[in-house]
Amino acid sequence: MKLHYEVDGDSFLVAGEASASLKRTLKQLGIDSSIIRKTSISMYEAEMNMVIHAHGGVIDVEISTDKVNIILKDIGPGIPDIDLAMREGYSTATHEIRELGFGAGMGLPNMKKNSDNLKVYSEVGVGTTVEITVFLT
Amino acid sequence: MYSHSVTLEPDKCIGCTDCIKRCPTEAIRVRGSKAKIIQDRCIDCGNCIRICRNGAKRAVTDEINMIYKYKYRIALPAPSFYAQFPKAKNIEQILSALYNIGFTDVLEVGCAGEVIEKHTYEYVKNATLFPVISSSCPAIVRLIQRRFPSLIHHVLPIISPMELAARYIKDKYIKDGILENEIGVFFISPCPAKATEIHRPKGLERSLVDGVLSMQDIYKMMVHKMNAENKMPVKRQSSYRGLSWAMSNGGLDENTIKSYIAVDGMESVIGILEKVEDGTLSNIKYIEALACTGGCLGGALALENPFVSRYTLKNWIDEDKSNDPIDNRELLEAIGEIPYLFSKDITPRPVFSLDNDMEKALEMMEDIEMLYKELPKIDCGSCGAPTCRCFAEDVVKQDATIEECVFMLRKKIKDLSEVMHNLTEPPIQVDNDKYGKE
Repeated sequence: MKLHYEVDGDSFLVAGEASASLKRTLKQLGIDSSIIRKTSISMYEAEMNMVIHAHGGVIDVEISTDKVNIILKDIGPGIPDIDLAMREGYSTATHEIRELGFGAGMGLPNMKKNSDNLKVYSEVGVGTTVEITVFLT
Repeated sequence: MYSHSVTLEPDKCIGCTDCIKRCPTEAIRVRGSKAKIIQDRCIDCGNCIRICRNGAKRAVTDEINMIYKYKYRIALPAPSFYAQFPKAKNIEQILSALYNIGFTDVLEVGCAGEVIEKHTYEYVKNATLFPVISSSCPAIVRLIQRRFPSLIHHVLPIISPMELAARYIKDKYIKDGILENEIGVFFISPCPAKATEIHRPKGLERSLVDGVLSMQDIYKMMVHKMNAENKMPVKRQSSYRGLSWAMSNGGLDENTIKSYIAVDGMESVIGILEKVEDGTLSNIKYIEALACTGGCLGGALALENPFVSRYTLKNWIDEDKSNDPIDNRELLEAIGEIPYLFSKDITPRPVFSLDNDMEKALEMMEDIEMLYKELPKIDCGSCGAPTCRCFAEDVVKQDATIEECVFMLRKKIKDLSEVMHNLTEPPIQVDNDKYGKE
């Protein structure tokens, strides 16, 4: 089944709502709780990145009996050096964002730790696409 | 088979739908103008009891007369009990009234709380999975089993102060040569969740508490006997540390467990537990989660307003602090010897899943999404379900029909009336050219 979410980049208040909504859906599907946990942590980090860095975007989720596939697309600034961004502690978050408690530089590493497959495509000035796969078996 | 301590009296229910939205596990539906509780989902939190304006939601606790089945009748008053008597001279007066209403002995649950406090610090020091979540509120443990099963391993695997107090006092009496079946231990409770807990305990095989008495049920008796002469000398057993277990901060000291969050009230607890699931609170060491706003002082069976109770209890705590400290060291040491860890794991009971077969669940999920798109999404409750999403699920599961939604019903009537209107038009127009005019 397919689900679609629009992420509003200007509102921190509702940031994380898409991940919360998907979490509820996965619980209704009776998926194992440790898998739901992995999925919601990695999707939450990706969603927050979209709000913090890219002014929002869209998320498309496909759920089948063997896996959950999450594709997050934005038209933000893009990531110049993906390998650098994957390093723990590296962050390009602004001062204001850090004051709110975000931008610790653990987003992408956390996503990698909590997913079975992580693909990041990005072009500076165009946007970023993050694809997260979590297997259900 | 024992089911729940929160029940419905159908005669008093008018189907007002006040309760359905207050249930944290979406366990109530109104069908045929009467509320029904879905047994699997109910966690006995008492939210519905609090909100029901018709007194139809009741807690089933034990009758006071059942204590006379036992030769030795020991009262375990929860610290929240003291706050129901703001006009009492002191706590000794309350405890001695307990003797006057028929108990032969009293053990303040607060002192078991002090021992649990120490055991908890030890556990948190050596724990590896954070945050550790408190387990003394049975409604919260049940909530986690059903709605947050991924957090079961975070739950503090230590028995509640009520249970520890029961274990200690029974052990003491048995060591003194008294037969176990002559000892009756009764918890005086601010809430229905504790009543269910003794019949269906979590983390242990069976509870040693023999009965749970509602604070509301014994209040009148207590008030009558408050000034009666008491022949038994009453000795305080719990220090002020034990008393603070009744409040919303819980029984632990924030300075000992740094990075500690205390959260009370179901909705707030759910918000915090969602954050724990998302992994955003892993730097917090301990979360004290209490289902009732105001902590146990706000329990569904409490009589006094929880904010007034807080004031009453705080005064007594301050008084205790400034007086000579209560010498309960020997008692605490003895209670400290009693085993306190869970003897079995808490089982996950995820009640929100649609079907055990993932393929079937996906199909149902798609049907629910399609149906949900048609619904007004205003969660009005007229259909008897708390949200439109819940209603869509009920329809797909064939527990409800689509026409129970007033809006869908009206749409159907509109469609039907259009069909009927079309039927009143002449079916075939007479074609004069074809049949020719005479």
